[in-house]
Amino acid sequence: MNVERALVSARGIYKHYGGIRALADVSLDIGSAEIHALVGENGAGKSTLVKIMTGAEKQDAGQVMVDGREAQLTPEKARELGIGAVYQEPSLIPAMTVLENVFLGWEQRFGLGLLDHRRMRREAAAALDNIGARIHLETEVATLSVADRQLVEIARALVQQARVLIFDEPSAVLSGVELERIFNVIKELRSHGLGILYISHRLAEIFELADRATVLKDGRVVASRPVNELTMEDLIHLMVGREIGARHLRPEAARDRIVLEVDKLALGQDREPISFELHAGEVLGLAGLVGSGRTRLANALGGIRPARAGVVFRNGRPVRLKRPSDAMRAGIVVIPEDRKREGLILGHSVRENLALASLKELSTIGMVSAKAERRLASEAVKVFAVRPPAIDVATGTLSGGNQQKVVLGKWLVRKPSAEVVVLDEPTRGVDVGAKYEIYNLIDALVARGSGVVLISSELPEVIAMSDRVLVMSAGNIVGELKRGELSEERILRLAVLGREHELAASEGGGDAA
Amino acid sequence: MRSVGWPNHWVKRQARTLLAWSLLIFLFLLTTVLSETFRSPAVVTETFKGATFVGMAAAAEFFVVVAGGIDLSIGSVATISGMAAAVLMNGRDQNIPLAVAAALGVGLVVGVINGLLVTWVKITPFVATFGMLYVLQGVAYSYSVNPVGQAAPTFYNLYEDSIAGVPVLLLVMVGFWGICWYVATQTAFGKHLYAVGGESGAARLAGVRTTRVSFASYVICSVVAAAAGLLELTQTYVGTPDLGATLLLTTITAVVIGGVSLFGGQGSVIGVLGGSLVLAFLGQFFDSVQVNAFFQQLIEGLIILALLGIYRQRVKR
Repeated sequence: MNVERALVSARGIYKHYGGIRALADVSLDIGSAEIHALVGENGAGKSTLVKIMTGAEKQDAGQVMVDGREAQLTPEKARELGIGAVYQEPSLIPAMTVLENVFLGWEQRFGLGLLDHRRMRREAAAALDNIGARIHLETEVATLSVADRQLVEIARALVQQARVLIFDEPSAVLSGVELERIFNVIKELRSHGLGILYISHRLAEIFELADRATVLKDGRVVASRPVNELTMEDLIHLMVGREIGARHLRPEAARDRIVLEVDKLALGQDREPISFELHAGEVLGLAGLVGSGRTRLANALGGIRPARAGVVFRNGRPVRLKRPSDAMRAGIVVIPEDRKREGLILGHSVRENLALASLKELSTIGMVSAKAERRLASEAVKVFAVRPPAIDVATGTLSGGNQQKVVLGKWLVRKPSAEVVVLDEPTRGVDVGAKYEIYNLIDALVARGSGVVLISSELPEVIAMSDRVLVMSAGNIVGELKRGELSEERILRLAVLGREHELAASEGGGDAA
Repeated sequence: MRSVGWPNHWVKRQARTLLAWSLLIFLFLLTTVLSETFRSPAVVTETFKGATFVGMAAAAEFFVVVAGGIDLSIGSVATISGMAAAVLMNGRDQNIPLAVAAALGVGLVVGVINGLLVTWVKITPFVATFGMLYVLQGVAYSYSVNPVGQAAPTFYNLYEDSIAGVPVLLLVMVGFWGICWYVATQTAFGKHLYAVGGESGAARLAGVRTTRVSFASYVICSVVAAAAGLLELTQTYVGTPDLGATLLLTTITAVVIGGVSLFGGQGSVIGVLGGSLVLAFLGQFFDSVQVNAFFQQLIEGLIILALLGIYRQRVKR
């Protein structure tokens, strides 16, 4: 695609968040009547690029060109220039009506600020008709299905005369018939000359939908080609292969004692029940794309959001997991993904955070012993290498990696020690040095006989740390891989293609294996 | 085709407003049945007039709350504006324009400061306006602990005057609520208030200038609160430093009874009008059946808790 014909182009975009690189030298063109797919693993930088192209975030370097001219984008400016977006996160106001949302920030008015309701009603109805959406204009958005909300967002973009429409992973929140509907709408929009940027990490739909695909890996463009020059294998190959660096392997776990048995745990409607076992001294990796149900499973085990049905056994005995205190009592600790909100009280000191789960043990006749609390915190800070090694600073002032060590420390100093530890994305947003210290903590956990469930979107990490890996897709466990069988490609193939692929492979004689 | 089911959608969206007005009608009928004195048109008119002051303050608070904020300084703004106007009027008609301008000016200045504290300095609305409450109360009492100034005759006569048999105060009220309704429902700014209070991030992505909108909500709130202070002066004749003490809680009560969500994004002007009338008629009801004022507080508290319970249930479903 040459630059003159592109409606919108990104040119050499760089973006950092703190010390973490999100995008480096990213260039991309969206042409008229083209569906351009942007693919990449979780954290490859897709969403950041969307935010920059819609003016929601500002790039550190590089330009966004609209019709060949450089544009300083803000959300208003982007819209004026005809760039619309359908976000994954809520970008509609739930308590307002469809009509109000379609025209939010774009209200049509007479003089005196009086709104031209009749005109807005007419245009909104036309836009919804255009995309075959049968949604009443006075319906409150809160009552709509996710698919209908996306249609409302599309209608909003159409009303605002968008020429370029960006879809941020609609398939992460939609499936089946609803997704098919959105696909048809997208193709229809293309036939009207709109340029579409379609973000996804589901590869099958790229081939169904897109004309061109650009692959992002670690914030860089690794390829940008017409889809008909690509195969599924090419795409998978392009997406994987990130480096994690050398790391010594733990001796494989003995697997002689089952510490946790999950039997037909039902996590949601239209999801198959989940069953697996965890052994003492084992790290069980849970891989899968964002939204594949991994966090939901962690929350069920931690009593944070109880499962609908099914039984969990600890050392052979069934346990009740209705609330977090049940899980603590059963010796199951879940360390949540969102450490700032669910793992720590940021305004409290390191000492207070470390002691929070052990207050009962630190108390005599209901009084927390300040001395015991200090002793516990000082030891923990030393053992877990928290830097700076001070116990009276506010936890929020520590770096991400050190905060995470405090979260881990809080649970690991607790007596009696938990035999089952579930870690949900323990190294997200953590710098490289701290990552290794967290890996060492995991090694220490299994060395003392705990079983660890490691949820991570970073495949190299899952592979390096796990004795076994369960791959989840669309809420189901779609495969189990043992240490000798682990590779990024195998995991990703299962995660992306799910069980469908297995079936296809076995029927077609394993042509894609 | 698209109009099918319209009344149903409307009822759902206006459920809180309808609830407030049902309560009002119930209260009105109850008082009419129980109290003979209440059955005279004069008493009903008086009750309506009594609702102007709190009503105006409640409307002021509405604009901030619906945009996701809160303004606790509203009572002290009304106090200072009333005192300033009374002192400047000093009982003379020719001073009225100056006094009115000064009173509204007080509101404007406080509103701008509140708005900046919240949107620029980024202090939590509750804390920022709480601080402002103390500052203004301090200014009022350090100026005088006793009533000061004197309203001009033309000004305080507004309370009793009528045009073609309709009390001026009621005309003011109708006009005022009409404007509020217009701004909240018929202008883009109104929609933006709801959007910012409902989901500020999404509003920003839709191109709404969110900080500007919430800044404006504080300015409007303080200016309207200052106007309410002026209006109250027609009844009190003198500026009193303790006027605002109870006003804050009363306005928030009216806003809540009127069905406005304290989390922002939901509620209606008509509902708030209903809420402030409910309070006025409740007062009248207790007067007429001769129950003491403390019992009235208890009943108001129970009404608030009951209504919030009902709203909460609706959210859950």
